[in-house]
Amino acid sequence: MPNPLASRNRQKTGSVRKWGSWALVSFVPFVLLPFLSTSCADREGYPEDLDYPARTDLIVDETPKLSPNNLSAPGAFEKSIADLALVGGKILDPAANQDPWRAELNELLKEHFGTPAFPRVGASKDGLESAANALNLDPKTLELGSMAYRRHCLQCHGLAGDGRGASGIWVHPAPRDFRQGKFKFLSTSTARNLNRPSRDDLVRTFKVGVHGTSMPAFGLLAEEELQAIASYVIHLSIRGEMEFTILRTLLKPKSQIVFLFENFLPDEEVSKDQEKLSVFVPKYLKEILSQYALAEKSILQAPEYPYKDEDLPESIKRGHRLFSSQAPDALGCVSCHVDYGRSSPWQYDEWGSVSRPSNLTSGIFKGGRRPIDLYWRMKRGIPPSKMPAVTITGGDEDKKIWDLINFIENAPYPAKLPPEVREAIYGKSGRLAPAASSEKPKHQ
Amino acid sequence: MHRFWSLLFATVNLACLGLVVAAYFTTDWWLPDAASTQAVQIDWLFYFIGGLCAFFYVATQLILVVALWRFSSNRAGLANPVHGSHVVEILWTVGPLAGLVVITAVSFPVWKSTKYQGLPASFPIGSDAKASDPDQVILVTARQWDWHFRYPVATIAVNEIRHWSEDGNPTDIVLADELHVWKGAQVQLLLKTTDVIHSFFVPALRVKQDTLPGKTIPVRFEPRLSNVRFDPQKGTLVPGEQPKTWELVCAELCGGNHYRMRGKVFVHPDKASFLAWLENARQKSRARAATETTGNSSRSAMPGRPAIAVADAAPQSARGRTSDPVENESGSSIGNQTAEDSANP
Repeated sequence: MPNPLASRNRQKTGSVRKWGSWALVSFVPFVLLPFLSTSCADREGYPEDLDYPARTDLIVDETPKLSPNNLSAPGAFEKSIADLALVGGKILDPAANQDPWRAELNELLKEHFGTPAFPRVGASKDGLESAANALNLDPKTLELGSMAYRRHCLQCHGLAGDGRGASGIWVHPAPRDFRQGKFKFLSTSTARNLNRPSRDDLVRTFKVGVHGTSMPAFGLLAEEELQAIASYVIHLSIRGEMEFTILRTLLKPKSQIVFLFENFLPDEEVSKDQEKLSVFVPKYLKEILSQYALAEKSILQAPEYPYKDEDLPESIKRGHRLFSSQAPDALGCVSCHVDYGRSSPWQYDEWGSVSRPSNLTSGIFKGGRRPIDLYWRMKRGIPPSKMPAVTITGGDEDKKIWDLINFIENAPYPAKLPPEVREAIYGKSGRLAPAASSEKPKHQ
Repeated sequence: MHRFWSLLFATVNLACLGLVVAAYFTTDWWLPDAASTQAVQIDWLFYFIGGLCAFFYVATQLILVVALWRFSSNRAGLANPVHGSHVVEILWTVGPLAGLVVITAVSFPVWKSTKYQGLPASFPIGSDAKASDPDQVILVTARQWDWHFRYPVATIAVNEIRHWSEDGNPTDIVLADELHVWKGAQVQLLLKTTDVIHSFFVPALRVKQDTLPGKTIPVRFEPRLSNVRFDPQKGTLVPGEQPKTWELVCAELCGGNHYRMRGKVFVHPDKASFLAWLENARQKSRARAATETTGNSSRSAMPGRPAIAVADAAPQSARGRTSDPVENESGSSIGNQTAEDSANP
């Protein structure tokens, strides 16, 4: 057996020793590397040269009149929007039109709304600075909001707030597309057709999430961060709405810029030479900002709760009657919330996605489960999802609305309902499965 | 440099030992606070097994270093292999076996006390005769991607717990990402999930349990350190005896936002503080009136970084929900009813 220590073999062992030492030593920096890197990612914003992309996804002009019979398959939301045209919906394709005004629109959007890294609301010459600042839409807050949005919201809600982020395309219901300027869970008055959220509506949604969807609660973020994100979301929504409004009007055949003024700024006197996008954008922006300002001051207040604890069962019974009876003095909610929501029909909402009146026996309240949240849902409705505002006639509105709220609050809990109501909803055994199986639409 | 390898091994080993010692004296690198009674037992087990392994580690490395030193030069001559020794072979089998048996024996009681608490007396494996009914029952629902905690407002009898976990009450308080308990309470959590497998993990409490779809899994622990206190005058949480942040994290990959599925654990010093907080939360969750917009609070926040600084993290994040008594709608109480409670017949 050769002696490994003999001199003729020394050469090999010597080189092994040398290279082996170097190999060992060279490992050291790799071991230390994790400790040297720090997480600076949370301080970073968007790249400074990144622009908001011009909108290329399809625009839903009109949803079909037919009821849907299909949910979109996971990751196929865009295809389901395109397919709306096959069932009677009207779809507009921004990619099909490359007229010069498209480039002008993109320039105007950039001028008035900035870039993701440097967002703003209003160009400097618009004179809208004080209006924007009053709504906390100043550049500094928006920059903070942009950084926070990039870290927390981007992956579902997308760069421009289109709801088609990397995670967003796989969840159902789809994350909110801010670009129509519409939100579901509002606490503001419907007077003058105002359907803007208050800032608190948005922050509340951040803090508690939306149960029944994939929107988690972000209550552990600092208050300032949440407020900044709310500002940025409003910015994305206003920018998106501007783009959406203009595209939706001008992509239609034979459309003219003057239609924008006629439809959206009817009170403005506009001369022939002012019929330009560069005139429309700042004027419409001013209009939107004033609507948001008005919304902040128009939070609906609920009437005082008129009942004591012992009145609850009777109140629930009255609320149940309001809900389920089709008599003229009742509300007939059951006509949409069929079988108390267990067999609600599927329908299209304004974003072209498929949803249905909620199942009131499930205990899931997407917009919040406090009594005041339920009051807001019913009092002013959920316009994009076609939930009408509840109008109570025949006097005693204050009591009746609380009857209805008491009923809705207790409907998911069979043990808490008066016997007749429990039997009406859950059948004789009290824990029965839904009376009729709700037909689930198949995936495409 | 004949002794290079011996020195290299000696240096690296000393450096590793040095890191371990340094880690022990630097709080962040060692075990988190032992915030529950079972944490104390589990930590003891950790040290015992660690010490046993350390003994063998030092012993073997010492032999290695010494051997490398003494036999590093070719003047030492050829090795003299040992051909079998019955005694040695028995020793090195029985010795480790005894060690493992000892480790098993000391682990069993710890496992029993963490996993088998509160079993009925008829249960065959180590039911604890003195295990008491829980002082607090909370339903924890994991969902993609947050945690919902449902606190009962009314007391629930022990034999009603199961019904309550499935049915619930409309007056229950549902909060997202906030676990409130008090020091010395026997806490029972009922874990559920609405979608995929998550895992409820609080390092400070040494509690980890997967949540499985279709199952309600009980977990028990008893906190022994308190980090917050509820101040009724201010209507907010303020730092308690140990102003630390104890995080709840999800420990089972559950989707794109698994990494951020976190919560905070607030341990009140006594039941009174907890009840005061509970009443405050109950009033908010029963809000029947809209309140004024409060605007920004006076704390500064670093964008993108959640408030997990050590000093006043617990009240800071709680203040985000309960910033002042006026802000009724700030939403700490607006989680939503768990779906399966009512939807599963």
